Amino acid sequence: MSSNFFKRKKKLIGMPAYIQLSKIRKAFPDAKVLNKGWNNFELELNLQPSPLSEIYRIKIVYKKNLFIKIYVIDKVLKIANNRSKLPHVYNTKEQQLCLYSPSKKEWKSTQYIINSIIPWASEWLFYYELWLPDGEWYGGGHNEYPNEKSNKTIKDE
Amino acid sequence: MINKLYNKEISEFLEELGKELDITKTEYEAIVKSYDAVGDWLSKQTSSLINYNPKILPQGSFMLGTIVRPICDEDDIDIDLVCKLEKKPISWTQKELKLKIGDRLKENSDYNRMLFDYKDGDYYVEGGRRCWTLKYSDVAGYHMDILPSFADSNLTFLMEKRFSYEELNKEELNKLAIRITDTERDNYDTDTDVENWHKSNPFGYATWFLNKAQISRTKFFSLNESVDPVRAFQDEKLPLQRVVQLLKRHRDIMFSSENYNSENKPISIIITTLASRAYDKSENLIDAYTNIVKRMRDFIEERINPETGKTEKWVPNPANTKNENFADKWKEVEQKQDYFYLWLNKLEEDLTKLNDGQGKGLQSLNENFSNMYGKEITKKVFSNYGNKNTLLREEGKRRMAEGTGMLGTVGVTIPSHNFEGNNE
Repeated sequence: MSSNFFKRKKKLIGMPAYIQLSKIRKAFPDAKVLNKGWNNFELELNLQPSPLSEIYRIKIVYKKNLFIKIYVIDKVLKIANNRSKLPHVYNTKEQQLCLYSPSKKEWKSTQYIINSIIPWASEWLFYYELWLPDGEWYGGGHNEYPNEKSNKTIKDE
Repeated sequence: MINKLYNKEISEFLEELGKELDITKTEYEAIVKSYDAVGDWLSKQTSSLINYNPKILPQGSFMLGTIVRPICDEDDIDIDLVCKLEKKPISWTQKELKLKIGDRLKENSDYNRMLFDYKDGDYYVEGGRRCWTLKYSDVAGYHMDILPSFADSNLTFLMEKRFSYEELNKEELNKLAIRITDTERDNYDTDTDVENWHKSNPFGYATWFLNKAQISRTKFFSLNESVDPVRAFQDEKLPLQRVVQLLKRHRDIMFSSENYNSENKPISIIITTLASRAYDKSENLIDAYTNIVKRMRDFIEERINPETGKTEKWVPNPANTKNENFADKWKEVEQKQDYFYLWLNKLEEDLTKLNDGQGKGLQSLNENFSNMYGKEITKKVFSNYGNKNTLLREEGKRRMAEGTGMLGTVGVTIPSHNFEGNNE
């Protein structure tokens, strides 16, 4: 019984949403909060992963201990010519980014979003721009196209 | 601030590109070993040339550090070498000097074969107009143009001397000149006085170039450091050296199109000379590049030819400004001049596009690079860049700036993670 008790308790110590939110707003004062509650919030902010990169508006939807979702919302992301869908997303149409491995528990709600999820989102955008010309993902993570030879791209020089 | 970051970032890309255009350390070492062996063969105890103190020295883009690999992988890299003799029998004309060096090469069965392998032996008997060419194996991927020449021992002495930039003057440049052989000169097989042979000054030119390229506080340099046969591979290049590589590659790509007769494309020596003159000593690659392109055309001179009374375009050889015009062919082949200006126009246009790419995405930079320098090499540069930054993150050295999300060396450290996703 006691072990069950502790397990349950451990599961509940996720960071309060307001702390997460205040940390994000401190780092991104321009972030726009769409709504917030005791355990949840939704906000939008801009990311430009490199000086050469475009600026992207992303939306973060957070519900403590339940989920965190990140979307690119201000444009329809293009698809590389030799690919049919976006890399590392839950859903191409909704442009919801997949930034870490849930099975490996790379992110827990005890971590600050500003120190993990947001930099990862910026990295996603960075590698997305590098991916666009040839459909090659240089950011690591699982192999997105197991059945395609990634070096089978157009050769022309 | 953003502009500074932009300059830094794009310079990093250009530097990567320069490295990909350059020969690798392995290639470099193989080439040095090869020409060192040629030098040894010529100066061996048993060599018929031993009394004339023969030496092999690199010249041209290999010496200047501005070599660019050819756009087709199957094409050879060109290595320019000088073979200089310090003495010669009084009776030798240019022809004898040339043939004696050829004969000695042919005594070695490998070099004999390599002379024959170049252009199916067309140049086996007499060599080219000025050179002997050794064709190394396809795997090695290069051939060597060996320029037979005469220069007294003063040259060796001068090369060991350490120049300071201030003391470089015309007289000293002149002392670095060598005399070369030329089958198309009237006195090729008659004149034994080297003073009447064609004068060339590759080492004077190199001295001038390295002087122009220098940005650091190191005040002295010796030419020997650049021609030393066993000098170490230079991984870090000076901005001017990189810009010259980028310019040459841009030219190669532009004139590989079927719309042009590639024979009349701008020649490297003109590009290198104008770029060096236009270089403002910027240490940042994009600034150096942009400013050079902006000013290059201003250094094309116009001079009146006293014989014809006509105005001619001049790109004087800095080691012989009065008498040698690198653009002397322009008046004979109009297309050469036209192409040069077409190339400059395209270059200016492309560079403006590149600099306007700020905030348009790395994909836009990729597109510009592909058009300017080729698709394959651009892909390599971008993959290096992506992988390098992934490695930095894995090592805990990649950060994100607050407020903008910009990745780099400032801000919160990015923890390791794996991108996942559904195959939906």
